[in-house]
Formats: sequence, structure tokens, C-alpha cells
Amino acid sequence: MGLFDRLFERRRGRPEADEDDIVKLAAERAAEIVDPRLKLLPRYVERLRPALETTIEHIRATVTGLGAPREASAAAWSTDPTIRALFARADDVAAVVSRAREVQKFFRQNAAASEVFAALGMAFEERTVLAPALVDGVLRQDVARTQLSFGDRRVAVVGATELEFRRAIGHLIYNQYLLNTAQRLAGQDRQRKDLTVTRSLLRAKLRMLQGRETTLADEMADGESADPVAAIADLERQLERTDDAFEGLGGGVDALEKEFEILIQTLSHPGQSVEIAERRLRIDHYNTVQTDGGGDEIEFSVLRIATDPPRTRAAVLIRFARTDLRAGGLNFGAAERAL
Amino acid sequence: MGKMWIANLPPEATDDEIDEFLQKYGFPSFDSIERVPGDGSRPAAILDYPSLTDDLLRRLQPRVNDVAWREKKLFVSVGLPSRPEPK
Repeated sequence: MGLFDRLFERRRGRPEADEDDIVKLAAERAAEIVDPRLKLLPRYVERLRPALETTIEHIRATVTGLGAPREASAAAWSTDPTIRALFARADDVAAVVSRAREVQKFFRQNAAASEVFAALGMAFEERTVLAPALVDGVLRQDVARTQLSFGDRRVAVVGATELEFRRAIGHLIYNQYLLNTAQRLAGQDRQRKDLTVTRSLLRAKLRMLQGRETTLADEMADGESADPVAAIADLERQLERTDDAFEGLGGGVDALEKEFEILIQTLSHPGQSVEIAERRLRIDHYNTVQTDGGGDEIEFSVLRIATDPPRTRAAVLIRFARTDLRAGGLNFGAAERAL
Repeated sequence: MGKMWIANLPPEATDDEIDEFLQKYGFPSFDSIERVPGDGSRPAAILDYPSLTDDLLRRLQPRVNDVAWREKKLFVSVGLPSRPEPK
């Protein structure tokens, strides 16, 4: 049973049992990604349960609120303004989606499938440009307008049916929460390493000053040498600050408890980790935003992922037919190795 | 963008199998893979993780470094291996 296999359909008669299974699987996955040692903590699942229940409800609401998948094909490019806004030419639709490893793998593994559901993620930018426009009945050449640009298109997740696909999106969002936690912990690992080096340097310098030893750099320094008593006091203050910072990050057995606290904190506030908002705009054929009711309406999701630095991506859910799959995605490397 | 170098791969392992193997150890799916066959004795690959930092990859790397997979002991490092200076 996959983690979110029962995310959207709770079986009648035993909903609590189903929820319990999901929480246990979600706790297992959290340890797998963040730190496998977390499972060694006493009452790991029970302590994580409230945060996991919040996260699971949040994912359910987010995934259910995503728009319906739209057809991605050359024909849809002519009729669907959203698809037209995302791709410069009709031919690009099949070319981009066919190149995606996930799509190729899906059609390889599901010989009977005639179409695939996929999430298409893109870099997204809103630029201010100067363009001609009618202002109070007068044509002006330099009116500031907002233009949308989409690039770096990647297929993130696929599914055979819409339900299976939405479950996969739920799984993807959950994985992102866990990766954000792991990312935060990785930042702390680095801080801990830097502080260890700083602490060793400060201690060595303090020992030298206390033993009235000097270094070549001290001997060659310009000007009068600093008062050794003041220098020792300054080093001791720096060392104390470093020790406090180190203490704050936690070490030894405490470090694992601190990691667990960060995981609970992230899962208790899932909206802060990944924010998904639906955007509806009217644009013309050049992707310039229209505020006067002209143009065509497009809709897409905007994902804000709280990494360092934060990332913003646009996404649409698509349906892509096997008949549109280009042969360009052949894996010559794999064929060569097989031979 | 994070890059990871994985060497001494089982020669018959496909891209999908490498991805599935790494996902078992908590890695997300890689974005692209570049095979580096070398002389064939220790095939390697460079994996691209555009959304992961080197710090995060360094945290995950010990889980698969020195791990045996299909009778091959993997060598995994974050970033690209240093190349010898041209003579």
C-alpha cells in the first residue's frame, strides 16, 4: 500500500483505522527522508501524530482544490489559451512533454495506457515591459504593461488515472515538506561544522596568549601590540558566544531531539513550507496581461517553496496522449549498454 | 543546483533502477543523469538535482556511499570529482 493510496477515499466503517495506517506510513517516510535515526526516539509516531494529521488534512485540501487536468497537444494549443501561453509554438507541446523522463517511463511501463496525467512545472516570471496601448482614446507607445514568461518546463509527477495522479501529487507535496526539513537540518550541520572550526581556532589562540606565545603574524603586525589581558578577555567572550551558538544547535543525544522538534514544527505548519495558490489572468497573444477585460482567461497554479533561497514555480495539470509521444526520447545510452 | 557523482555502478543498471535505488534511501528523483562509462571497469554517472543544495546532498550522501548494490560497492560524492591537471 502506498503512502497516500487512501488519501481521498476513506473506507466506510473503519475510517479511524485507515487514518492510523496513513499516519504510520507518513511517519515511516519522514524518518526515511529526514533522518532514519528518528525512529529510535521514544514514542516517535505518537509524538509526531498531531503534526502529521495537520499535514495530511492540508495536503487533502490542497490537492482537491487543484484545477482539472487540461489536454496538452498541438490541437489544444490552438483552442486553449492556457496551453498557448505556456508554449511558444504548437509543436513545442509534444516535444517538451515527450522529453520528460517520467512520461517516457510511464508509457514504457504501461503498454496499454492511451494517455498519461502529468503535472507540468515551470519557471515563471512577471516582467514589466513598455508596449503600445490605447489610453483615454489616444495610442501611446510606452505604456507599462505586465508580461508573463514561462520557461524551464519539467514534468514532475505522472499517473494513469486522475485519482492516482492526485495521490501522486499529494505524495510529492509531502516529500517536499520532508526535504524542506532536511534542508534546514543540512544548514544546521554546516553551522555546527563552522562553529567547531571557529571554536578550535579560538581555543588555540587563547592557549597561545595565556602561554605568552606569539605567531609570525603577530610579530610582523604593524603598530603596537594589543594589551594581552584585554585580548584574552576578548577571546574568552568570543569563545563563550561560540559555545552558546553551538549549544543552541544541540549536540550529541540532544541533536536528534532538536531534529525531531524541527520536523514537528515543519509538519505542524505545512502552509509555510509549500504554498500553492491558483492564479487567473487575462492575457493577449503576446502573454501581456490585460486589465480592461480583453484577451483570453488563463489559469495556473503558483507554488512557493520555502527553500533557501525561496523558489517560485508555475504548474498546470495536463493529460497527454500516447499518440502524441515523440520518438525523440529514445535512451541510446541504455540501448548501448544492453548491447 | 546540486550534482552528485556515483561510481562503480552495476553495468546493467538502468537510469530508472538507479533512481529507484536512491529513492529507497530518501533521495528525491533526479532531474537528469549523465553516464560516464570510463574504461568500463567502474562505470559512473553524474546526477543533477536542481532543487537540492550541496549541503542537503552532503547530508544524504553517507546513506549510499560504500553501500553494496548488486555486488558492487558504490562510491558516492557530492559535486564533480576533481580531474587531473592537463600535462
